[in-house]
Amino acid sequence: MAYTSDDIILWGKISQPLAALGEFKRKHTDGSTVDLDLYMQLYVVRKSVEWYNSQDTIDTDILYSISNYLFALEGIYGLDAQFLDGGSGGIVAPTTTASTTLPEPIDWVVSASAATATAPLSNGESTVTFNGMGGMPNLRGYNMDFTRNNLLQNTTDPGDGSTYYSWNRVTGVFALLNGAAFTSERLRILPTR
Amino acid sequence: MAQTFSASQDVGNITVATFEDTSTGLVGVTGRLIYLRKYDGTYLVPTGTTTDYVFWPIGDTTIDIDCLDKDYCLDVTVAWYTGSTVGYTLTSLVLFRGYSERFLRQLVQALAANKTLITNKNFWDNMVRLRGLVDSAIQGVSLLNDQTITTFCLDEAKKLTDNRQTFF
Repeated sequence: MAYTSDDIILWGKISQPLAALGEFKRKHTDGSTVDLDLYMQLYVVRKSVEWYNSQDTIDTDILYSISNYLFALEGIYGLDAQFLDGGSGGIVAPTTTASTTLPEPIDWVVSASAATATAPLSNGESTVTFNGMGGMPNLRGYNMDFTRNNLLQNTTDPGDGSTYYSWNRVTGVFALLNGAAFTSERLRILPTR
Repeated sequence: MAQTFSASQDVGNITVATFEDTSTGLVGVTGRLIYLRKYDGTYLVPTGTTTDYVFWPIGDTTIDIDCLDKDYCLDVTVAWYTGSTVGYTLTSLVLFRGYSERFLRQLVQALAANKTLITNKNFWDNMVRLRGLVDSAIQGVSLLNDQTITTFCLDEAKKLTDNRQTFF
């Protein structure tokens, strides 16, 4: 599918803050390939493409060349930008994250009452499935941050006997590990991209 | 009734400043002059012009003035004559930044052709600096309406573009 320079410029605008945040986050996971200057590259290149695209007399070879370069620079953030712009998100269309608005966090105090969508784990429970069934929200397709008693939890075993959790974003199964929920605990589930 | 005009510059003919009279409701206008005053108080006119102004025939909505040998921030005044007196005037600060933008576009072209250039610190730092100066010039007009600041930015940008071998 061919894109217009206007499309690429718009995605460049959207990609810029996504790249700033995304590369900063990646710094903590994959520091070897991170490019903290990417957002600035996107800005500088996009401004030039934008200006040239606004001119009456254009060499289309030059316009294509610099537009394609901007598109290449946008990379994965360009795909996110297309998605936010209402496009398909590239070749593979996301299906489980169909909304641009993230689901609301679930924040509750554990009690003996039966589990609900706003308090999905009760005293003594350790597993719940967020698949849109049984009164639970459908959180499949999202990543998830989980806080237990105001402590952000890991998905790997800390090894010191403390709690952690597992999350399967395909099936929607969420599980507390090293300890079921117990009354008066403060739990918070935060869906993320 | 309103006296208004717009200005533009195109990369295809970068030395030409184009002005369009977009006024409405001016009564009894018989002639029109345009003044392009530079920061130093002198006037920019095409080669061979001996006056400070350029005559803009009243029958022409637009006028092309071939005078831009570099980027300028110009204090542009259009005077509409009603008979032998000036009936209306309008002065507006106008930025012509085509040379800097064209240079930046050439740098992007160079990047597109050789992606490793981005790792050349001298190249990249000065490219960002040039972009910053051009953006500052834009805001010098749009936000500050300040010919001094804008001209300073353009002059600094010109130092970079005039010394490509050193800075890029």
